[in-house]
Amino acid sequence: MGIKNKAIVTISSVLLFTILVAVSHSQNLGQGAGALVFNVSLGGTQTLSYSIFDGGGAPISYTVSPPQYNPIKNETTPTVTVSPTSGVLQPSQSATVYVTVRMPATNKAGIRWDGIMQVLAATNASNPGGAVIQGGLGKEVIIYSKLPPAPNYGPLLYVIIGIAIAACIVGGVLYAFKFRKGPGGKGKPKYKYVTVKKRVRVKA
Amino acid sequence: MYANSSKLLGGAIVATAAIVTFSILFMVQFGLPLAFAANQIAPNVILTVNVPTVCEVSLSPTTLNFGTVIPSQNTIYTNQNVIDTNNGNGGATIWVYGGNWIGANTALTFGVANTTWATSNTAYGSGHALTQISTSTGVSATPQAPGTVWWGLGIPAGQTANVYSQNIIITNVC
Repeated sequence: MGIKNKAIVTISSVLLFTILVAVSHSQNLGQGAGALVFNVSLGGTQTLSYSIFDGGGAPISYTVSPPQYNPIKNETTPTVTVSPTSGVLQPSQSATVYVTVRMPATNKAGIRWDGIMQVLAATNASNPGGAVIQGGLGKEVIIYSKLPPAPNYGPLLYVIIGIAIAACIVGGVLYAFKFRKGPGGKGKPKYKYVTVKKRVRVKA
Repeated sequence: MYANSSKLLGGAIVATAAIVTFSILFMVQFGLPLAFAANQIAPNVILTVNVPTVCEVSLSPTTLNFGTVIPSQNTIYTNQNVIDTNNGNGGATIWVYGGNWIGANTALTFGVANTTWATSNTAYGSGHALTQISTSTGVSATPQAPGTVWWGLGIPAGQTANVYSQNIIITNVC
């Protein structure tokens, strides 16, 4: 085979290989492993986060959807919001997804909800007469309801105690000063009674 | 006079003790240093690196063509599969869901459940109906071995002829 024919074969092979490789491979969207577990006080909120990243060689547009939960009788499903709800990841870039849970105050403590939230790689593909396959990552989101914590008075309590101690000390010192001992050994009050004798002239 | 002085002295001692006690409690509660630590030089420096566990998703192919299927007929699974490659360092489980089939004439549709998935190349009737709610297939996609999900389609009886399309979503849960 001549050099020219060899070149044609090589080019054709390269083109064919390129076409085969280019046939439908979605991007490498990745995330940290492990479920998100929330313990949320009744009437309170809690926020957790995790990372997603682009492990491939092309940008990935993505959307984020909060989890859906099956309803529980006599309980109100907690409100779950995610941020961001969409974005674009560049190759080797990561992003943080924040998940916030708000627990209704009317729920009981000790209830558990379990659902899957998703980060999907956007696709513009269309396939009339067939199906389009869209890839993504799922994250299990588990929520527990708990009783609110007892109030923490913090530094205010110590200030009050300090004032009370100081008041007791000052009062004790003043009391001791008031009833200080004089000659005779016994402490005298501040005031004393004085007997006044008055001479009266009576006409005989 | 001496008794008076002793009372004042006793009061001063009690006051001092109370102030010192309160100060100690305050500093312990709020983490203030009670003493200044002497400069120390660690003999060794230890570095630690935490490598988190991650999973990825890469699907091939990203389109499925079932060809021409007449009403009341279904496809076999051969050649209709999607390979899920996980290039992370931790395993993942494959979950699936989808939407209804919608015709080029959008007034024409048929249900998502007419698409079925399976963990092997099996008959259409042995597959699981696809739903609009994400469902675990039980198939694992690990860094060592990709996962494969097989797909089939059945056309409802009497379905109007048209060109229909569907979206199928495959996610790796880790």
